[in-house]
Amino acid sequence: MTDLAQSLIDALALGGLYALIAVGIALTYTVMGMMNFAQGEFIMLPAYALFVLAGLPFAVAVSAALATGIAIAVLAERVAFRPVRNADLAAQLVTSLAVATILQSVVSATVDVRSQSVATPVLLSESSQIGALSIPNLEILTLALTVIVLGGLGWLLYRTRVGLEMRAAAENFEMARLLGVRADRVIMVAFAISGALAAIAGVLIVMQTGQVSPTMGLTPVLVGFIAVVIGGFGRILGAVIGGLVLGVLSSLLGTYLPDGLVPFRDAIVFSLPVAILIVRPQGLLGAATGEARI
Amino acid sequence: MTGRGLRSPASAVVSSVVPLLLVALATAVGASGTPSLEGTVTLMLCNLIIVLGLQVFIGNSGVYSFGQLGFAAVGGYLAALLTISAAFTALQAPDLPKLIADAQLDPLPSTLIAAAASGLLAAVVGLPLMRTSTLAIPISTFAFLIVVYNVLANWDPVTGGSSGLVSIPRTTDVTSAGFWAGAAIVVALAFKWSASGYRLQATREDEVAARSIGIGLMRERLLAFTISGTLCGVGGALAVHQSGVLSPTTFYFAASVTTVTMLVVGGARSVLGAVVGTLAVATINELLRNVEEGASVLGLFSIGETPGLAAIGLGLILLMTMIALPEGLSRGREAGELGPIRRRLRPRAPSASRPAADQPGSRPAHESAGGLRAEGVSLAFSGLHVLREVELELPPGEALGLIGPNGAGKTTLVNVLSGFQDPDSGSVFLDELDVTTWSPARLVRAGLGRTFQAGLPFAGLTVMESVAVGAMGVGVGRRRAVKIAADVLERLGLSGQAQSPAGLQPPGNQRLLGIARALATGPRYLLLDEPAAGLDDEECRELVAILRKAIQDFGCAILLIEHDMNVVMDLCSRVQVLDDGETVVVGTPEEVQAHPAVVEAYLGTSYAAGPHA
Amino acid sequence: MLELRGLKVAYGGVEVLHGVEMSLGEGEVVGIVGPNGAGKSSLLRAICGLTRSNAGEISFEGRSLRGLAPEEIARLGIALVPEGRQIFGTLTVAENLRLAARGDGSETMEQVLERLPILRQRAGQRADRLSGGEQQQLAVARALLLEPRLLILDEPSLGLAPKTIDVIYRLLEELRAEGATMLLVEQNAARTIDFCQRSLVLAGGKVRASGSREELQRNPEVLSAYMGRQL
Repeated sequence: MTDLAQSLIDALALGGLYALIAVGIALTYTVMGMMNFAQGEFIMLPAYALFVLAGLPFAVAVSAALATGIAIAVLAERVAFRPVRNADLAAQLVTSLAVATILQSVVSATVDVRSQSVATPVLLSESSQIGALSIPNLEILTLALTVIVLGGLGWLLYRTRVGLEMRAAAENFEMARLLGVRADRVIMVAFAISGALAAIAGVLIVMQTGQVSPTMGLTPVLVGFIAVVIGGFGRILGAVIGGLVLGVLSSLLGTYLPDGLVPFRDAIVFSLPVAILIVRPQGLLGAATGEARI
Repeated sequence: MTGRGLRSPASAVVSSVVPLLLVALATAVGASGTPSLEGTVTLMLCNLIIVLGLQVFIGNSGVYSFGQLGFAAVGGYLAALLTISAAFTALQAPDLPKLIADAQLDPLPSTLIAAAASGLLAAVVGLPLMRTSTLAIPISTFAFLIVVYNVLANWDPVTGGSSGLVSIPRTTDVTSAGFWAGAAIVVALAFKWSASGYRLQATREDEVAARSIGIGLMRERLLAFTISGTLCGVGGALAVHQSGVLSPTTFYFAASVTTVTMLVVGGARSVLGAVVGTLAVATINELLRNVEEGASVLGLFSIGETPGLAAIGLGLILLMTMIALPEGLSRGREAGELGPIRRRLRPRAPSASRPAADQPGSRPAHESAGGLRAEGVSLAFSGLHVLREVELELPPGEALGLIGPNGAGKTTLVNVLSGFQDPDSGSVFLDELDVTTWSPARLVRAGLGRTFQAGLPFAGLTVMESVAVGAMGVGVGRRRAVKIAADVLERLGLSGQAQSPAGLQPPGNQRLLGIARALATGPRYLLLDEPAAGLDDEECRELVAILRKAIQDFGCAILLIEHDMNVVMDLCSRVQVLDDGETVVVGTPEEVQAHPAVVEAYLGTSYAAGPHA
Repeated sequence: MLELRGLKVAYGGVEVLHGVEMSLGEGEVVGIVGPNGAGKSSLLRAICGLTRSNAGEISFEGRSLRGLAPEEIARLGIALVPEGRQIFGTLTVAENLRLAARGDGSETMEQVLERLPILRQRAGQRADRLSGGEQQQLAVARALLLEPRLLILDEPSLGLAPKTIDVIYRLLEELRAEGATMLLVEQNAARTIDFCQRSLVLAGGKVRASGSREELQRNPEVLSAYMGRQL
């Protein structure tokens, strides 16, 4: 029984992490319609900030990581994505691919192409005893962060002016502009938040794996994409659910998969969402359209 | 140039020869240089084959797939395992099935087998993947790539795991690579210019309009995906036999980015683009690599070792292309299509052009009992009742006008009749068959065609191609489709525009184009949605004349949504008035025009009482 | 207040407005009528910055609007009630209104809610639960909250039942009486001409005729000659 509970908590922690990643992607998608490939690099660069600032107090390094995530996201939007804002989706996707490549290569060139170790603060590598369960502190942190961050995001979206503008822009960008909503500002805020979410995810991943590498963002961004898609395009809540489902699934498979198949866990996890999409092309939460297919 | 076919013979020849010449040139350069240069050029040519594979799918469908290198990987691995000597295979991949492990094939058969296997895999994988929505395809193909990588990297006993395979016979030289690249060019061009290729391009131009002429989105994409996978498999097989080594990362993210960059920089829509892009990017890549190693630039100054410079350069090139030159160096055109697009300034159809003989269109008009019928059709969305128990009857060969104020539900009714929307209740019958839930494609093949208020032109295709694809959509072969299109264009007075891009036609011509495209499907029932909207008096008169003649010649029944009573009076024997989702009256144009309820619905009460003194 | 000179607008590569001339003074209520596809919506979209114009001038109170972003034009005092209402269905009525409100907005909000009490009633409901007529009122209310100098309405009666249209037009009459400057586009020619002091007939991308209410009503042939030969 405790084993099961333990596994569930592991699963939820991973689900929380994936939910954070997915929401970061969903945010820019709902506001701008853009699937941002470079989100993986928005995760990777803050992680490298932790590596670079390894000697400094942890709090300082984490703040720097957060700032890095926000800064790089806003910068990428301004420099690379704004010029293609009105292009078609494929063009935007390829542009984000270009940005991802550039960022990855810069890190490979300036730091190293191989992965580097990052020390985890002692507290986070320990576990706490809660009742009969021994839960890694990192998982507690992840779960707590997920709840706090998503709650904060919800507050932002539903209780502030900026959030109202973002929700309106997500539904009908043109109409929002006709009411005086500044497009540039809304998009910048969406990217800044995405960057912050990516940074948090990056820090958590580093704490978990103890490593950074230039390509570490690849799997998370795919996870995020898939979570957004299976949750139903364009719904933040859908992204959360998609992330949770993927994380829980991935974790449980990791625990209960027979030994021989364990190396193929990722392969299995990534095949399943496609199956969902085929059965339900609009995603789990997407609205089934009874409207004109025109 | 009017051209009887889809393009002038000269243009076709130039478009085919130029890319082949470029490849031949590259091959010659590679063959005459140092072994190192030969190796570089050979790899570039292998890349070209993969890029051409990408072009076949991405260029024609407009949808990005990031999984094609998965097929290159499979092709590469299989070909390698087939050619590595049995002893070495046993060492690296102990659990491989004996058939493959013991095989030690020559390069040609191994490449062919690899191609077949990749193609088969592409067909199998493509089946579910192409059923996902247009937006989900990039993501699901990306997932496929990662799955392939994962399997290759972890299935040690069969694939050699993350360390990959070595001792692959280095049998690919620059000449064989050049030959295969040439073959790939031929395949890519042949597909692009085939009926299937055109149908796929139509879906790229306008998905909705493509469905309205019977094109099956998934089917066309799957075919291109399969061909694409096959070409990528060939490229992969050849590449590993040049380098002699292979690992899961050979055909993974970096290679995906490189090949996509090559395609995008050159221009995804054309085969020439694939070739030019590959040559350009490969050259720049080489230059940057040299700089990376600390070479001197132009002998002026030297840069110290900067690893990763090439990759950064690649990313920057891709980024700049997307921002500044999104259509790529070739602007999406083939070699024979380069040069200024001649814009015909004549907005009107030349009225002197008379059809040679009154022939029916692609299908003989026959007296079918039945007609198109709607019974009790109701539809509501977002709380609004758009259609309420609407009945409609269109007997074969007749012309029915459908009028009513904006928002009355006319277009929605046409959407229901043509399969684009399902009614909440009620039925639609076509020749006594219940077709209420039929898809647009199925209805088109059954003889029901339509046009759109917004026209929905295939802007990137020429006028001739736009119409010919209409016939191809219902399964007509390319040659006959071209004949049908030429005939239709002549009757509608558009022959002079045949080679001009559809997107640059003036509004009057675009309306005619939409009608021509629908006529090319050989409909027995044609639904026209406001063909005269926005036309001035003269254009309108011409449209009416053309329509009247076309209807006679093609013998189809028409349902005409229009605001313009003159057009309706000229063409229709009966008129049905819709207001607020309900039928107000059905009668002859004269009856309807005088009906007080109709006058009020349209013009409001002030006019119902008669003009003011 | 608003002046258009030689305005050319292209949509999807095709020119839909071939040089439109128009002027609108403060306090005027002007209508634009014309058949579908004549370019009425393109004209409004160009004024509001949603579509780029190829040539010509658009000036508002002396200032050129060409090249300005829609949000800037809205802040200059032009409010559009777009075709099809386009309220934010997933937001509540109150949120829809709050979005438009400027500054602290509480004063104008009160005024607007006075005019349209149904919105106060439905404040907490999701906007997509409102009926067509209520949505239209919401759309107008939103535009009013922008405290516009010029109010543009694109087919406000589209898809609405006659009684609901009456409600909307009563509101517009109120505004007219208060001296609001309005530009009204409708398919229903008679109603528009009746309501507006002056109307223009836009057909085939050009202004074909214009005149005061009396002039146009006295000469229905003028109308039918250019209105696409309607009833």
